[in-house]
Amino acid sequence: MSAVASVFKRELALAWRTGGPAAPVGFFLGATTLLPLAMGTDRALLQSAGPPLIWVTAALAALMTLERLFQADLEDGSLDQLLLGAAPMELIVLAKGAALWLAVGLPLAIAGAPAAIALQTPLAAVPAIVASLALGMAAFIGVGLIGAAVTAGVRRGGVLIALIVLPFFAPAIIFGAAVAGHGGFGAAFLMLAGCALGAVALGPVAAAAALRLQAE
Amino acid sequence: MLDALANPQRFMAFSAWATPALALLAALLFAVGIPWALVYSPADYLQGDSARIMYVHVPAAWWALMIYGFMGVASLIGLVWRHALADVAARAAAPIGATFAGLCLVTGSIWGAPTWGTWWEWDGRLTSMLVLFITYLGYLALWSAIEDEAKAARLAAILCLVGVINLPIVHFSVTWWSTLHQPASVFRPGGSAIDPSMLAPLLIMAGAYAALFGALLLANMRAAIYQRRVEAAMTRRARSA
Amino acid sequence: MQNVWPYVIGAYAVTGVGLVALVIAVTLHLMRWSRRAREESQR
Repeated sequence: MSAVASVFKRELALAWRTGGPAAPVGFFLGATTLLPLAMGTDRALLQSAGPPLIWVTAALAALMTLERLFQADLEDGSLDQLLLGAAPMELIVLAKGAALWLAVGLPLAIAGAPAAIALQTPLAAVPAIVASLALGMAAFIGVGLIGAAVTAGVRRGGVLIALIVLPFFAPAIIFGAAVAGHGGFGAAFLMLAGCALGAVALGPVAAAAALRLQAE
Repeated sequence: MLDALANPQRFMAFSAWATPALALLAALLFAVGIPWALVYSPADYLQGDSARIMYVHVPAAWWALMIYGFMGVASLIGLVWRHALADVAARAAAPIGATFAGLCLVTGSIWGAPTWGTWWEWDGRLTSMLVLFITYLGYLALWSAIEDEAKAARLAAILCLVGVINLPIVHFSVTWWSTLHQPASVFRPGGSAIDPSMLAPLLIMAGAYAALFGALLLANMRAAIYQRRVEAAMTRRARSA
Repeated sequence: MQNVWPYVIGAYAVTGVGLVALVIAVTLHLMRWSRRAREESQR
């Protein structure tokens, strides 16, 4: 169990040292403010385009962080060490994903508040948006773990990860945008929670299986 | 019978006659099915002649789904029993399934234009079918991106199996969400709801697509086995040089 | 009632082109590798 905890702590420390959420959150805020600049100040237009924009940008930000998730471990041999260890690979992968969520996912969800306000979302809807983004990032990371594991050995595999993982992002984006649009904490939110739960439960299993194959 | 095919030598012997046979069967079924669909079948009482698109759209959809299911089974066998021919089968089926999925989307879009008044709509069935098409593309891209054949096979198998979750979503999407695409008319509890005069040409076309898939699958598998033989021979020569 | 036949013909044409292209691609792929395998075995 301590191996898993130490992986978790190490990932958090690494994330913190390499700037943590700065890059993905910076990208997220930059992109979401770009739209109002491009669209002008039509309130109604911004309110309808805002939620989808927030979700697509969040998905892209997640993709950015997933790209190199296992690449470094594969290259420097620490993947083999982890596989030889006593802790199950699934838990180690889960720890990596959890650290990523704490370091990037949660800050991005919180950044969703200013982004939503900039896109003229009514203030009452903002808590639901932040909560749904937190769930959504968990879903993106859970599924993204599979894409990252499966493409770990590929040079410049960024676009490949996007292509592989995009179909599985779709449910989270659909339900998340619905929450941001008009759903509040209703049915769409529950479906999103279901997606997040499923991704977190199954993602590490498939990713661990793929990582074992990578190390052969 | 599957056991007999498991041996590459026996597979090559089997596919040597089975491939042209299936190709001929496909040609015959298309030759019968297409005129029947275009001319001799009745026009739909609601949609008129545009319903004839059903005879190319629906078989493509059915087979796009079933081929992915085939790939899932083959991937599982390849992963669990490490059967090289299973990996070959999954890879060989993918481009065919992807083409059928793409044709399903395009013919569906063309059908939607006069009947629904729109070329695209984000309803459950269309969206999940698009997701399936993209999954096919990702699978093919992954195979191309990894150099080691055996590793590519295993990783692609995992990806394929993860994507299997989309199959029930595509099928049940029309029952879960009643939006634009019409509900199931053939594969539903209580049996088919289509008139026999339309069901017959539909099944003929479905058979044509099936025979075509079979012929192309075997052809692709043969090509893959030849390719492996060539690469093995080249490796042997390079080593002894 | 609009004339739907352009759409019907269009759909069948797209299908025909797509399937024929697929058949040609697979056939060429097979011919290429069977020829190379024959060359290798003759060396």
